[in-house]
Amino acid sequence: MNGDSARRQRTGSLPLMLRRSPNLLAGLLLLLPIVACALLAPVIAWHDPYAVDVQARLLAPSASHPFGTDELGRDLLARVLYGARASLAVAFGIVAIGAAAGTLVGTFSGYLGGKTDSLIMRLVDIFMAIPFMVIALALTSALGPSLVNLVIAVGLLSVPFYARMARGLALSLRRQPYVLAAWAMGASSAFIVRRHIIPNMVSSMIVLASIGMSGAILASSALSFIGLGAQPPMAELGAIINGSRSYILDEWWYTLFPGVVLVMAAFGFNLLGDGLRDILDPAGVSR
Amino acid sequence: MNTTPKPDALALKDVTVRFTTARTWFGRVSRQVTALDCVSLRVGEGEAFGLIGESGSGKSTLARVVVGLEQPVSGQLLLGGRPADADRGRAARRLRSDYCQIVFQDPRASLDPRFRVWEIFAEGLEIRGELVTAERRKMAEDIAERVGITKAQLDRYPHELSGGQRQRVAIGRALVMKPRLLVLDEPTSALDVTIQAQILNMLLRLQEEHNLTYLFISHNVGVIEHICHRVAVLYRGRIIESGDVARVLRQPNDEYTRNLIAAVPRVGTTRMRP
Amino acid sequence: MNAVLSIRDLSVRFPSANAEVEAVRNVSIEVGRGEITGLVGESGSGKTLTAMCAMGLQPANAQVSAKRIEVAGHDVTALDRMQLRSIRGRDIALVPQEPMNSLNPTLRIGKQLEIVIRTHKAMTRAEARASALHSLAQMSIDDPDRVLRAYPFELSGGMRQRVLLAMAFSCRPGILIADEPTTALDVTVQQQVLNLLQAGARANDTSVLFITHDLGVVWNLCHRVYVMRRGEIVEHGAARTVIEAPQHPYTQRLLAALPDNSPPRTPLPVGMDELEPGPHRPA
Repeated sequence: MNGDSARRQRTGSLPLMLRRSPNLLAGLLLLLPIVACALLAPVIAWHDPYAVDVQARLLAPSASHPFGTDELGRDLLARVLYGARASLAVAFGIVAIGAAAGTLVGTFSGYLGGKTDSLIMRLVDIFMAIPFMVIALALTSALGPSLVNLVIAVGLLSVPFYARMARGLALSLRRQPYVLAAWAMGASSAFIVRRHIIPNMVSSMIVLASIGMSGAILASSALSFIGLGAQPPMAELGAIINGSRSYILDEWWYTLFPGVVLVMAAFGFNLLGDGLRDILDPAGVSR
Repeated sequence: MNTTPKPDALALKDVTVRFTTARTWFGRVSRQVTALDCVSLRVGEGEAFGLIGESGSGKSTLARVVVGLEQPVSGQLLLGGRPADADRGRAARRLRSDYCQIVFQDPRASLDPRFRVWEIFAEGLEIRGELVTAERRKMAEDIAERVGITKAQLDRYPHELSGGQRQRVAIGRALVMKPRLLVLDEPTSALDVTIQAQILNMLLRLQEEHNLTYLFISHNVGVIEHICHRVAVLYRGRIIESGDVARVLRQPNDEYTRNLIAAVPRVGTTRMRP
Repeated sequence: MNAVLSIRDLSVRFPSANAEVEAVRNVSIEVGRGEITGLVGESGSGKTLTAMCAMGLQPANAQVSAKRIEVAGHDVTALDRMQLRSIRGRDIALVPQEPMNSLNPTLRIGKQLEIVIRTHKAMTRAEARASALHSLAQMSIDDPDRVLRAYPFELSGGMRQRVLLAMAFSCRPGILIADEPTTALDVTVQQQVLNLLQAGARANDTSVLFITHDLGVVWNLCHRVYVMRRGEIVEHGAARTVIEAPQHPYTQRLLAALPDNSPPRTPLPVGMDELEPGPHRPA
């Protein structure tokens, strides 16, 4: 009976949900400003992020340049806003590819079980055993350094992350009595996966995707930092931080602002993921 | 006068079920558990047949074999006089589900938490793709009335219902396909005594109304004695004793049965002195 | 006061979204020395919550008010956390419902017993081990050495429940609260565990508050019984008397609903208007 009351409260109102999960509240507080600003970048930034003005290079934060300028005189506020946009878009792309492909692979593997499952999981294990950075470097070098290729490469690399979770869920869900009942009534596998397995996986996968966003942001920034993702003059948080390396001691604003935004975004998605888990699965057990 | 006897609703002949618990590297079976060992029984049409046993006795396996969730390695299973198809294909499963359905023990796990109650009732129809949504909804409403679920509850989710109400939904789902045989695997064990009484009353009524045959599994001697005509006692995959319920439960022949019955604490019979 | 456990006018409220839910209302329970007292109720009756309050183990958001909650002479409501911890195990012990989940799966049984014993008594490890062996032997465990070395997953449900009983009795508490300890067990195992509980209670001079929904167990095991419904005590008295001649309509309904008490295949006398217990326990 305990689980009943817990789940009854899941479908409550937003303020109630926020009250029950401080993680959710904190995550939203960190993310909403960043996402809002990133979406509204064209409206908020009054300078052009690509406009070079050598006279105005490396200026400290001021009224006309709240975040200062970089070594080419470009307004850092505009670059950080557009950079956040790029980073978020990239992260979203990575998670979309990874979660979609991973869920399909994992569900397929977990539902079928047996030898198919073992085979697929061994392939996934092999994939995971190779260091992430090595493959990322290899893939982006092979495909050519660009943001799109980065999305594809890291997206594919993150498939195992989602596949393992999806597979575990599918394995346990297919043994549930309501699945057995449907099967005994003559349901096809497609029906069971579509109507029973996937809907019951969605909440867990959303939590995972949220935490995955955090990892994706960091990964894409890391790759852009070493020059494999966003190419100059494109604004992307990791690329900006890369450009700030030589100026880190004297021009503190150059590294600080993109860095803080990056950390806030990654941290925010982590908290959001935890918060979603709090409200979607308060008992802590996925069914 | 030549009267052909009606075929039994259910008959098992020397049914054996084995599970593999370990395999060698090359997939060959190295260890097995015999869940059912040469089990034979017959249930007549309209009868309520009880199955008593402790954990590991094989009673749940027996239930699953009857509805086709497990396959015996040997022996024969007859449903309504006809051998049950060992084919695991969809068509075979549908045919079997037309004849017999199962109600599980745990009211929480037996209903999909993402399905509304009316969708649960109508799932059998949805699987067959025969009726459109509105017609399925109407069928769901009919069934709901018969099992005591209100119209308002039809649009709710399982977690919004109590244990007893969920078990009604599970029974309703089983009845939608108009089966002749209902396998009930500890249907009231997770319910309060007063709710159990309501469900038992409903089961008795439904059996009368639709001439259903029940295979009723329980560890509760009082419930078996109340519902069933005949009973079999299972121990480690074998039927130890079977027969008329009053005889088996009050004058058991077998020692295991005697100990089992004696171990049940019941009102009015003294085992221990406080 | 000869009572080992004395609860007087206990009420427990839970703040919830719209209103306050009163899960327990003015409950008074007394368990005397050497008694096995049953607490009977269906789900949502508040029986477990009442027992948890006696140990100070109620949920964090529960608002408890009582005239008195006395365990072996200590007023539970007046104790702070450290003091509560010291009486738990020593003066009042708990055997919970699910033996599978109540033992630490990563520690050997011997280690867990040792921890319990040494928390309440100053003993060397060797002494504690000897005491643990004695407790296990008391629960008719044939090979206590093997059990001490085992992990919980290596033991059957019945064996685990015996270990939990041994743990509970190890410090010879004045009162033991058993919360539906045999619900998840097979019938023959249940019989053994109940016999052991009875024997252990006698041997250690421990009273028992036995929470259950099973009237058959109450008939066989308990001296006295309290019947709870929706947070209130509706009837109490000597167990056999209450069951043979129930005064309150709810008790009568409860007994009438037992299939044992009606002729076979007849409708059991329970109305359809019997409301099922609602959500009394918010998360």
